[in-house]
Amino acid sequence: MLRYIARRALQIIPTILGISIISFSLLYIFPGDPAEFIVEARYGVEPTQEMVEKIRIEMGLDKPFVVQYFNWLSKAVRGDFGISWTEDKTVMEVILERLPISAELFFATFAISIAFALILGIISAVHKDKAVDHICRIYSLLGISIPSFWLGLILIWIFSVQLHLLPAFGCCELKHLILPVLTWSFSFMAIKTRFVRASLLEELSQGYVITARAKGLPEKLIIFRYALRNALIPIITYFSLSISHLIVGSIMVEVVFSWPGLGSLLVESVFKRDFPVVQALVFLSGVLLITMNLVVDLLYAVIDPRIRYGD
Amino acid sequence: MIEMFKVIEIFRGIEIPKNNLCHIGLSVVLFIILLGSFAPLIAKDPYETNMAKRLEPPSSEHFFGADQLGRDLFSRVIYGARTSLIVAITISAFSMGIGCLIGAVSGYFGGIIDDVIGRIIDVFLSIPEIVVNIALVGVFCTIYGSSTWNVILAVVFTNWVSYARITRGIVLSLKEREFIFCSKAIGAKSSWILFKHIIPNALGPIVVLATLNVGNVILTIASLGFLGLGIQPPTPEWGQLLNSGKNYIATAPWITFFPGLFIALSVFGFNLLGEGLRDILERRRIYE
Repeated sequence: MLRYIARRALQIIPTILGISIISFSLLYIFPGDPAEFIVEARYGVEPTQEMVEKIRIEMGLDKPFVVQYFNWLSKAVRGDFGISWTEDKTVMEVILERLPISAELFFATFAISIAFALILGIISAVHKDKAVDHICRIYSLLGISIPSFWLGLILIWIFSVQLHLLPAFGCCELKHLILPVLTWSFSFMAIKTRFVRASLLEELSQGYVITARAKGLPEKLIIFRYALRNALIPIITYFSLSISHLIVGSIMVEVVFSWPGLGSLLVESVFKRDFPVVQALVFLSGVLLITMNLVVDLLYAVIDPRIRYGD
Repeated sequence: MIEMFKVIEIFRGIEIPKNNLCHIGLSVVLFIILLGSFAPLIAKDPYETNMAKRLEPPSSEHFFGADQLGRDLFSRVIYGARTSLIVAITISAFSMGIGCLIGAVSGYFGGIIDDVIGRIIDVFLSIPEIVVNIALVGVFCTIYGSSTWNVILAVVFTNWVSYARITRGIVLSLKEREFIFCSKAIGAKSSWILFKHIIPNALGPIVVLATLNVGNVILTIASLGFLGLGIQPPTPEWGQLLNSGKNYIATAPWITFFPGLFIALSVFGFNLLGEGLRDILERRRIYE
């Protein structure tokens, strides 16, 4: 088991290196002189030669690409992404400020989506090819087709403009949370509903279900005690994988509702050309995705002993 | 596309299963394509401003109302179909070309080449697409100024990988099959094997992927447009129409409503068609 963990953990290193190269290059291809830009953006004055020179040496911008890259990487793996170009804070401070706000939105959506995806998925699988199933399938296709920013605006129009029930934007109280969570869940749930349905159907077609049916066990028992338990293995792993959406899954929703989380931060930073922040967000979201992949793989091996191959 | 499948099916002597998903999807897609192609016949001038008609509600003269500059929203939405389709198909075509080539090379040659390309594919699969798209468009805008090519390049940068992955997988599995081995044994040339065996077998899954992909790309373009990073005004584009509409949501909700409806409709159409085609492919595999 330990060997399996070690092998899988080592495998992600080249991928993380690849992601770091892509995110670093984003900043390196910045046109013109970043040092000049920093002076202008941060102090709002016409850059003088010595200020530019000072910033350039301070940030190591005078070194060649490879040196800069390794400097950046060695700091980045320790969580230091340098200083924001437009604010007098470190990039990490800027990100950590926004993280809890994003997390609030994410976990609310996550909890609601899981509950409803499970219910809908099970109903859909049990009533395969009946009307309920068709409705669930059409919903799951609609969920991935309807743009969340449009759905968000429509909900704002209904609940804020017409009914005056909920605020259209703002942050952090429960009443602010309802519309964004509703919007995001609509698409978040869609793919998961499908996944639950497919996993349960897969289990229901197994031999042991036929045996159980032949024995005359009640259908409820077969579904909940037998099939669902086995189907839960891929479902749990799939759900935990979606934690990687935490950083950036909600960009469009956050922008529509002016929710000041990491998604909004990314878009703001692109417009302010605060590329160290953009770079850090690209890198972190990539690393989070890979790490979640790894965790899920290991989780899989823990839950299901058949998977500890190569041990 | 269904016709193409039919031809293949008839050729192989298998009855094509009835598939409603496919038909509905195809109708929606054809509808959007026809709207886009015949935009000049259906719609009026989408650039003509008329401040007297600013934010006018839908009427028999302006089916979808007028926008903040008094332009006819119906015309802008119809021309928007053109923009979205052209850009989305361009992106998918580039991605398909690059992705399939890389995937095929990787799968066919194997060895170190495959190891390296496989790693690169892994990296691209684990970067969050929309984040990189947004970041890249931002960088490109600073370098080249705003242009549609920024959007195309930025999306192709992340989009090729799904084609590469699927092509690599198909080529890898086909390479080991007996009929390829047999063709080699009877002295078939590589080009014969490639065009007679590998490409026809790979075509199905790639067509399914491409169909679903066009839908996704339309959504990505609209997202970028909504953020103000996509195709720039005055060229009408659905996401960008929504972006300008959101400021008038209280007074003129139709500016928001109609473009979004068309985004949803076309993405839904492509998804439905893709799903349907996939069903057909899977059933064919079961027949075999």
